Parts: sequence; C-alpha cells; structure tokens
Amino acid sequence: MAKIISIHSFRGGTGKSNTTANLAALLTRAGHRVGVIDTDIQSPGIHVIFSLKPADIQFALNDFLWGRCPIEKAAHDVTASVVGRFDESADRPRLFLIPSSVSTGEIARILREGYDIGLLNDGIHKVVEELRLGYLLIDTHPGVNEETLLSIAVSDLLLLVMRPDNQDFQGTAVTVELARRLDVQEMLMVINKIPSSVDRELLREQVEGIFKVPVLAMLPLSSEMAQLASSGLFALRYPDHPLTSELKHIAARLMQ
Amino acid sequence: MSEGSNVSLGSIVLELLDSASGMPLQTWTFSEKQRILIGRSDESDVVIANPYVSRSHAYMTCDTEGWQAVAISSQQLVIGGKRKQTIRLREGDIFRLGTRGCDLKFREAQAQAEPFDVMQTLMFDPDTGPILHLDRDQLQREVAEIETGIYFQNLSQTVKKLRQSRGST
Repeated sequence: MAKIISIHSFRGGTGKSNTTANLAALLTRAGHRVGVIDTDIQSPGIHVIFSLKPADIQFALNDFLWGRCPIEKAAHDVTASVVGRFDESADRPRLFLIPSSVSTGEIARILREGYDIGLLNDGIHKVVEELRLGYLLIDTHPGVNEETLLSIAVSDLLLLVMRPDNQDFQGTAVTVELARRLDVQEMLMVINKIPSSVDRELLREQVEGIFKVPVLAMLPLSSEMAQLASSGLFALRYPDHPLTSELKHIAARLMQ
Repeated sequence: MSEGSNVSLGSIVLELLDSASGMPLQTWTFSEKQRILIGRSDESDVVIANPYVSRSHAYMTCDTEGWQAVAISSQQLVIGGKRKQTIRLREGDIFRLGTRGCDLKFREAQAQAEPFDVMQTLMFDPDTGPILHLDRDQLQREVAEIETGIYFQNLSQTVKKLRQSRGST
C-alpha cells in the first residue's frame, strides 16, 4: 500500500517545499514511483524546483478541482529532473508532480469561490491508485486551513518542518494537537535552518519534551541552500554536503 | 566542519562604514569561522538593515589563498567602482553590497594582538541557544476554537470512515 506523507509547516519560509522536493528526489532515486502534490493553491511554487515551466502545465490541480480533467491528467512526469536520462519503458523510477496553477486568475477564483474539499480527498486517493505510487508527498499550505487539515487527516505520516523560532514553535504546537485529534498515525519533526551557534542537543530536548514528537532531523542553516534558493535540487547539487546526509536520513526513515 | 581542511582561518574583522564619514558604525569579529553570511535576513552572520541589501546578499569564505567575498544577490558586489561576483579580499579592502548598498571594510585581525575571547567582545552577540517558549493557554484556546468548529468535526468523522474503508481494501 502506498504511503501518504504530508509535509507541513505553520509559517512560510521554513524550507518546506525545498524539503519536500529533495525528499521526493531521493525517494525516486531509490527506485520508487513517487508523486508530489502541491496543495499550496494560494502560493504554489514547488514546480520551480523541478524545472517545470508554467507554459508546460496544461492541467493543474485547480483544473481537477473545477471538474475540467481527471486528477491523473494534471500529473506531470518530472522523472528526468531528478534522475537525468532514464529508461522510459521501465516501470520505475518515476516522479510525478501535480502542480497548482500559477495563474493569478485561478488563484483568485479558489480564494473567492472555494472548492469542494471532498474532491481533493478523492483526488489524493485516485492519483495514488492510477499512478500506482509507492509514495505520495503532499506539500501543504502553511497555517491551519481546510486543505491542510484534510491532507494531515489522510496521511500515514505527518512531517512537520519548523525553524528554531518562537512563532514557529507556538504555531507548530497547534498543528501537533490537531493532528493528534485526527489520529494521525505518525508524526515526525524536522527542524530546519538552525544557526551554527545554536546548541542542537538542547534544542532537540526542548522540542521533543514539549511536543512529544520525535525530532527526525536537524538541518543546518546553509548558505549553499540560500544561494541555490529554489533554482534546483540541493541533494543532487551537493551530494556530499552535511545537509544532504540529513535529508538522506529522512528519506531512509520514510522508506522504512 | 570540513574535515581534512588545512586552511588556517584565523580571525577577521568586518566594519560597516558610515557612507558620509567613512567611520565604522558597527564591527563584527569572527574567529575560526568557515563561512560568513551577509544580508538583511536575521539569519545572516552579518545582519545589515538596509533596504538596498538583499536578504542573503553575499557570503565570505576562506581557502588556501585567503578570504574571498562571493555575491549571492544579483545586485552583486562593488569594489573600485566595478561590479564583481567574487572579490579576493586583502587587508583594508572596502567593498559595497550592490551599487546602492552600504560599504564594508575587511581586516584580518593582527596576529600579534592578544588572543581574545569572542564571547567577551561587545559587538559579538552570542546565541545562548534555543529559548523557545510555549504559551499553553494560547495553545488551548486556539485548538479548542478549531476543534469545536463544524468543519473539524465533520472532517474527523469522514476520516474515521475513510480509514476503515482503506483498511478493508
């Protein structure tokens, strides 16, 4: 059975989409069929990391939500962006991205009219089935809204990304509590952008002590990552970087 | 961090210069640091509150030939009136963060100077580690507000049914 993993952070700028994209790349390179769905409809962005140009997006998640196409039509094969040239006749590895539309008109329509959240739920399950995915990663919208709660609720695993920062800390606590009430099977914490001066063990102790959620990885604040911004996949560009080995550690845990 | 590196980092000083007088407004001292991030973002090692400076504007790094400054921002760096992506730094060099940003002066701390503890210098702002604080009352209020909402209650019910159907397939 496929594993559905939601990646969420309470605030923007935590590196959630970059973490999601890098994990998707690592899972794909480990030989799996992987899907990434960008439910951050209000501020989409993960397509950039996979070098998917807006002009190449014929159908997006929005089109599915408006009933213009089945969900699998919105899935774009971006395998080449993470493995380079690959054997297209082989069943795996494969990486599919279901992007959200970057059209401001589409975004405005979602904000104005809303959409049937049940459809998103159907879409998530349909895409797993149709594309025969081993893993589906859901890149959620920051904060706590309906699609976030739905994504969390249908996930087998919730990966929370936060920075060592009080506002992130308080907001993440709300998400953790709600996820518990929704009986999410497993929650893991990733602390990102940790300045080198921070006492990592003390930080881990504090976070695990208060949230009662295991800290899976502690990612250093990296100037290389800042430099790369969202223009590429860090784990592929810097395969020997300490940040990459932490990302690999997360991917290995997801594959358990 | 990088094992096996034989580069001796030593201590360096960066001075933020007043554009009118050229006098230092602020000074940062780094000792044995591999990489120094300069920008407007709070996460930078050298935080410059200037709207013309990018959030992550540049970084400084040291190799066997000494220190260099590398631009991250497309605004680049300016030295001697020329825009540069990378500047090989020498003692006393003054470079600008973008054409409209501010000037920084690079100095290598003198070898004969007495060894000092960076924790005791005035300009160094030591990070005392995480001081995360959770407001439990606020947390309870916020969770209760969402939890008692109709949407959340419906969702909980739907999810339970979904789990059962997924489990049975």
